[in-house]
Amino acid sequence: MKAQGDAPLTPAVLHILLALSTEERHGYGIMKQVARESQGKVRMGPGTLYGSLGRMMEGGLIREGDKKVDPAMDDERRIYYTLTGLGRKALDAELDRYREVVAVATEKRLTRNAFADGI
Amino acid sequence: MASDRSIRRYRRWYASLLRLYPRPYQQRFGEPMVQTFTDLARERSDENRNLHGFALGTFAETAAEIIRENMTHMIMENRNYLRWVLVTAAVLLVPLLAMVFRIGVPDPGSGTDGVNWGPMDFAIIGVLVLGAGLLYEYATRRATNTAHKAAVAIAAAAGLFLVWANLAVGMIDAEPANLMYVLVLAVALIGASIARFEPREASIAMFATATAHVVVVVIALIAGLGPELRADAFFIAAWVASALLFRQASVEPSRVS
Repeated sequence: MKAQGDAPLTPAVLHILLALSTEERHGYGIMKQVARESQGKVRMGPGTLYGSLGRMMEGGLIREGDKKVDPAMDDERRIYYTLTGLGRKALDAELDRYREVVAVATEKRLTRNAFADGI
Repeated sequence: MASDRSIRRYRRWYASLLRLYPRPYQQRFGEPMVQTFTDLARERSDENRNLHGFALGTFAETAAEIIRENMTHMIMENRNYLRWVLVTAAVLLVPLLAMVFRIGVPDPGSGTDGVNWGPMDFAIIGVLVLGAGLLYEYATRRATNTAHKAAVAIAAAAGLFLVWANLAVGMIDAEPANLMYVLVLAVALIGASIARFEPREASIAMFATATAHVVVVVIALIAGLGPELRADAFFIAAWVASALLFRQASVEPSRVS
């Protein structure tokens, strides 16, 4: 995955970036955070998660941090992943795109009820 | 206790499954993936949820990713070779389209006004172009400078066109005498193989090839076989240019350091 300016992100990448936007996390931590933030709608297995992490690191969106123990878990040392400047930029660009879409929808009064009413 | 044993067993099986990933991927993510799998399994176990269903689902999900990663890895590893397959297809498409649309490109070999290639012509040219391309990729796999790559490219192109020209029209009017050019190609190929495409040694091999080509032309002239001197001059110049570039490539790394 090459970093491509403000190209749209896949749902998995967007959720991982969101999960890492507040603090660095290990793989399991990312999964938990993604599930929490999406109210359980987005669930990814280890295969999808690490495949996405690999491509994101290749694209410079995130980087591997230190290997350390998570005090809330067992004493196994885990690799933590951190958002990079490019990752933050990509996330901001994606969120701007979402805001623009929502603004257009609002302007056209395309709410859930409007669809139901056939407007 | 029983679930701890199950988690340990599934962890072991999951670690075995991860061995099917491409080696670099496995080395990078193998350990964190097993950790994450174990964390998820513990979470399931703590919530008294079905561990077997979770394991089966995760194994299937990871297996799908393993297939995907292996395909990506295979394409990335062989993309240089795949490029030459596409180039060969593109080259063969030209005469094919000319035949299909009856474009009047003169073809001295066929004795007709247009291109008229048989299956054997396509096969031979396909093998030649693909062979030259693969030879280039193989010979430049350790090349670190442009001169080295250019030297290999010129030598491979010269070899390709020498065979092509001989098969199409013949470099010498007398048919069996054309076989003398096999000697030139043999010097190039054997010399480059002995040199293992290392610049300094390959330079000597290319000078030897140029010399062999000159010898063939001299023999053809003495025997009155009517060689195509302009074409020969072009090929000899190509061998010499390749030799000079190989020589330059051999001194370039020391300049850098």
